[in-house]
Formats: sequence, structure tokens, C-alpha cells
Amino acid sequence: MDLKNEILAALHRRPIDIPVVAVTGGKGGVGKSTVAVNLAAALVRMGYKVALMDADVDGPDDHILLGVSLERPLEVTVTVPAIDGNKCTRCRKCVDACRRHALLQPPDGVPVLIGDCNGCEACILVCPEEAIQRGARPVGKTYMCDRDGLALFSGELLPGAEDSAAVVNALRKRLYGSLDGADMVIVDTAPGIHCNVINALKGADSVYAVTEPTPLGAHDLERMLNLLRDLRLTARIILNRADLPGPRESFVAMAREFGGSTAIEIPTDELLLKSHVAGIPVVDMAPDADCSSRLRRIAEEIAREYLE
Amino acid sequence: MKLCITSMGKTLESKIDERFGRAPYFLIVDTETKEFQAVGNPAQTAGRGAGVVAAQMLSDMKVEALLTGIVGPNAFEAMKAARIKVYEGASETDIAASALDKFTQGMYQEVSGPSGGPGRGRGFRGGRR
Amino acid sequence: MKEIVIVSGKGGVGKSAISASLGTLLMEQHTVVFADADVDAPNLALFFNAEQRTSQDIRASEKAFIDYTKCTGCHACAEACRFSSIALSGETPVVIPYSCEGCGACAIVCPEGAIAIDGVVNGRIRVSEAGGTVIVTGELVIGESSTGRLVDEVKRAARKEAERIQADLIITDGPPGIGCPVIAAVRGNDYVIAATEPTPAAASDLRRLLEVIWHFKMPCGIVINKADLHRASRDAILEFAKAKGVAVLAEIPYDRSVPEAIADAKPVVTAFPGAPSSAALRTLAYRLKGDVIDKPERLRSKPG
Repeated sequence: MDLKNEILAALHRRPIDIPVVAVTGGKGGVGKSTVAVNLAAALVRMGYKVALMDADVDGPDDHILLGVSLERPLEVTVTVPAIDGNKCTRCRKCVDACRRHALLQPPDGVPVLIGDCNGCEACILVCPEEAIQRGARPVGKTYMCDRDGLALFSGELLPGAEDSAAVVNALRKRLYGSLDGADMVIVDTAPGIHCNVINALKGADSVYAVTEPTPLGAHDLERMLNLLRDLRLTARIILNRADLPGPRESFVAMAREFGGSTAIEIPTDELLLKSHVAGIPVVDMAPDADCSSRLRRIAEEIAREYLE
Repeated sequence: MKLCITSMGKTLESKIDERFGRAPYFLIVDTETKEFQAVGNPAQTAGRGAGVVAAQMLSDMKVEALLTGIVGPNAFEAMKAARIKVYEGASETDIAASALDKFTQGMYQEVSGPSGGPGRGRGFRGGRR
Repeated sequence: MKEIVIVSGKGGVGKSAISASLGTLLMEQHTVVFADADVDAPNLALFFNAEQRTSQDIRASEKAFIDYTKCTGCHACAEACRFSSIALSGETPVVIPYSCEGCGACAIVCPEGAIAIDGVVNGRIRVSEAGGTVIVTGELVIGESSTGRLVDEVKRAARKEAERIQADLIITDGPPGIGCPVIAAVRGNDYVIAATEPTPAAASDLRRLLEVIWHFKMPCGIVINKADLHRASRDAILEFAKAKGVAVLAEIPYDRSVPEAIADAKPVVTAFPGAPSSAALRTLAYRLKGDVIDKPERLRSKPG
């Protein structure tokens, strides 16, 4: 039974119906955050209110590029089982139900949690004595910083924890719970094509796939474009550091195969490094620069499509 | 007492396998009578929580001690919870029978922390090759 | 045999390029196996003209499957799922495979026994050969999950190849970030190289990465790539490293030979052995030989 349509409809459902543009890329370090931050800043300059989601919870960087700090922390927790010794009959149903084998029944006492619990609560569901309470394990934090029309929502995974998904989910929930009249959501995803990137791409109206024109960029972009096609998302390619040597023809071919429109090019520009270090988006720091006008043009394209 | 020795094969003539998580066999030996039984190591093929699966099996078999080369942090925690004493430092240059002799002569030290981190006392053999 | 992994926190600082060149230099005196654990975007093999020998499907992920001949539409599964991975399409519960963790909670609550948890192929391991070395590449199937377990399989395959060709060194190109695939890649190595670049974002990600490395008590050192990109940021990294007692193994300057070599699908030490970046990579190789590879016993970690 092919449920692809139903799965994608459910995946892309969003709590509030305002436009979402995602910036992603596959390969790390190609300039996703730079593009996302500048698109948001450019739209704010045009008078719109923007909510920016920094969904790279392993290493949030958008606040650095915006020169703001991570404010208003809220802890993200995941359930862990807390077993009541008075009710536990040591029947071991919880040990057997845990597919991660995170529970061990010692010679005496109640089952002990060892290592990898992901909060699925299977153990709580099977316990016939209702002997398991919900404990909480901190796995990260979400933050919110509001600055002149740009609300930045960031998430941060606790080093050593593996629950990036829980942090991204909490981040999305916080953003949609605090939209406060935003006209648009811009999402900066993590690098890669794994489940947390997919989680960040949920509900996107359009996607910008940032890459660099090198063989590595081409290889990773193809994987990303295949993923986007699988998710039935349309993408435009942004070729950052467009002057780097590499297989240009591959990118032309990919643009044709996956979406029809040509790639947007942004040449290497020292100003981008300067703006990173200064913590000011380049469209604000040097609005007349070549890279700023290219980024602004993309923002204008977005505004035309979704906001006017 | 009941001792588990991690081994490459099914008899006391088999070589020690130093890795608790990957050794193909556990030899469950009675240190007094030298009677033993070989069981497959469930941790070898398990994905997550392999150490816990192995520790649970040994606990259920009433094993009291483990002799092996190294135990990772997760598995160590599981062994501790199962109240099984961990002795590290067995070498794959020994066969299980020799390691058993050395054990009964008290030549291995019980470890209080896992080998996941470096720099811990490793009993008989000290550092690795 | 020694195992060294290169990770970075921030993506794009040059892990794959460094791994390729470092391993190539060490091949002068060792038999090396390369492992590419960046399963989302595996790029290491692109640096070698490698011929693929084997490709193996890996089934290291589990998902829930609903048998609709038994499903009565009671929705207990959707309510039990803690990962928002069972949605309702009208009245029909639908498993969203992208986020399903295969935990089995839904199967437990289903009163009809209509849900099974089954293994799925979530990745591939390709083994290729190039001029005296073997490259083991892990590749996530697009849309799949359980990257940590796939990385475990890559390491397992790399160790098997190392045994087969009697290699004494495994160099692993790790994934970006600090999540479960990075943790899986970092564990069990003899040494972790934390690669970074002198920018505020990379420095921030480096700090978080080091927390993870210290959490798992792994010995580590820092390599600053594109070291001359920004003086103040580079100085800040050196100060931070000194304060935390972490060695800075090498600083690799940025020159055009690096992207030219990549465009040519070669490690820079092969394409431009006289370039300043190649000289710095050679320094890194010497340093590793002395500090890690030629040392007989396992290292102690520096205090964090």
C-alpha cells in the first residue's frame, strides 16, 4: 500500500500557515547560515517581520553572524524511567520491551537504566504494576532573541547527548508558539541529509540548496537534491564561492534535472568574512556591495513569491 | 566461583579474546572444578546496548566475575549493576586454561573503572601493545 | 594498530582534505586503511582514483510497519508515539518513516497486534582500492536514519579490511556536528584530531566538540586549517587551546593549491607537494607519528 502522499502530507503539515523558506545544502561549511541570516536581514530591511530558526542544534552559529547572544534559555528534556521499588515485582517486562537494551535487572532490586534511553516510554507502557514514573533527562536548550523585526530561535544540543531530534522538535514548537505576527519563517538547517535535516525541512514552501562549485560540493548537492525530490520540495541552487575551480557542467546539469532554474552565483568575497567576524549581516554592514545585492535579489524573489 | 572468560573458541584450549564486546564466545567456568560451558557472546552481534545484553545473560547465569582484556564504559556500568566483578588484562597470547590458572593465583586485578578512558591500572599486563 | 579520527564540529573546515593528505603522507611508512564515517556526505573517496571492489547493504535501522488488514483505526499507536512519527491521514494512522525510531511503543499498545518493527536497509558500505590502500566508505541511504549505528558498521568494516591487508593504521574522516554519528565515530579511537578554522563560528563549534571529546575521555589535539584566514580568531583559538591544555598539532595555511588539488581529485600533498599547505601537513604527520603512532601504549588524555 503506497502511502507516500499521506506520509508527505502529514510531514509537511504546519501548525500556523505562514510561508516557510528553508536554506540547506548537504555539504557543511558552504554558507548556509550566511545565506539564511542575510535573507532574513534583507527581508527585515524591506519591512517584513521574520522568524529565523537555527536548526543546526549541534552547532548553532546564526547568533554569531547576527552579533547577538543566546537569550531566554529553556531546557529541553527527554523522559527517562524512574522505577518505584515498592510497586516493582521484577517481572522484567520493561527489560524485554526496551529495544535499546538500556535496562538491566540486577540480582536484587529494581531494573537499572544503563546508557542509551531515548525516551520512547515503551517500558512505562508495558509495566503491569504502573511502577514506572517519568523522570526527566536534560538534552539541550532552546533560545529566543528578538531584535528589530528579526526573531532568532536557536537550539543547542548538550555535548555528549544524542537527542538532536528532541531539541529540533522543541525548537519548532517554541517558534510556532511565539510567532507574534511574523510574516515569514526562514529555517537554517544542519548540514547533511539525515533525519534532523528532514525535520527542519518540514513544511517548507521553497528551499535554497547552498553549495560550492567543487567536486565535493557537486557530490553532496546531488544527494541533497535527491532527498528534496523525495520530499517533494522544490529547490533553487545557490553556488557560493562561485569562483572556486570545479565541475561547473555538473551543476548546470543538476539544476536542469532537478528543477529547471539556473543556479544563483555568489563569488568569494572578503566582505563575507569581515561581516562574520563583525557579527553584522553583510546586507546591513555593506548594503551596496556586490554580494549584498545578490543576496538582496534572492530576498526580493522570496518576497515577490510569498509576501506580496 | 563462576567465572566468565572471553574467548576466541569454545574450549579451554582456545585463545583469549581481549574484547568483551566482540569476543565470539564466553567460557563460563567453575574455578574450583574447572568444569565449563561455552556460550555465544550475545554482545557480538547486538547493536545498541550490547554490553547490557551480555551483562544480563551473565547475571542470569549467576556469574560472579568476568576475566577479559578490556571492557568499554557502557558494558562496565552494566557489569557493575549486575554485581559482577571485572578483571581486565587478560592477553590473547594466553589460552583460556592459562588465564584461568593465573586468575586462581590472584594475578589479575579487579578494575574499578572502565577502559573507555586511558591511563587506568590494567592489572597484570599494564599497558597495551 | 592505531586508529585516528578527524572531526570538526563545524562542517566545511577541511576534514576530508586533511584526512586524505594525512593518510597519504603516513602511507610512506605505514599500511593505511581509510574510513569515511561522514555517512551523510561521504567525500573521502573523491580524493583518490579508487576502484570500487564491494558494496554491501547495511540494515542498521528499524521502523514500525502497520498491517492495515488488522488495523481498526483506534489511534492508540499515534497517541503512544513519543517521536510524533505516527500521523493521522483522515482516520488512518500512517507511520512517518523519516522520524520513526523503531522503539516499538506503538506495537506494544496496538490492541490488534497490527504493528511490526522490522529492520530496514539504511546505508551502504563500499570498499574501494587505490594504489596500496583501501578506502571504506559509509553512505546513508537518502531519507534514512540511525547514522550512529551505520558509523559503527563502517568502523567494523574498516577493522576487517585492516586485518585483511595487515594495516597498522586506520584514518577515519568523521562527520560534522556533535551528535550521535560523531559520538559513534569518536569512540574507540586512539586519538582524535579536532580540525577547525579561524572564524568565530568554527571556534564556537570547536569548543562544543571538545566538550564531547572530553566527555568520552579521548586524547585529542587541534589542527587549524586555513590558519591565515583571520589573525585574531587564530590567536583566540591558540589562547583557548593553551588554557585548556590541548595541543595545537599544526596550522595549515590557505593557498590556492588546496582547491585546485580538490578539483583535480587529488590530495594536495600529491598534487602540490611543495605548497605551504603540504609542508604544514607533513609537520602534522611527523607530529602524529611521534605523539601517537609510534608510541607503544595508549595515551593519556589531557585535563579539560
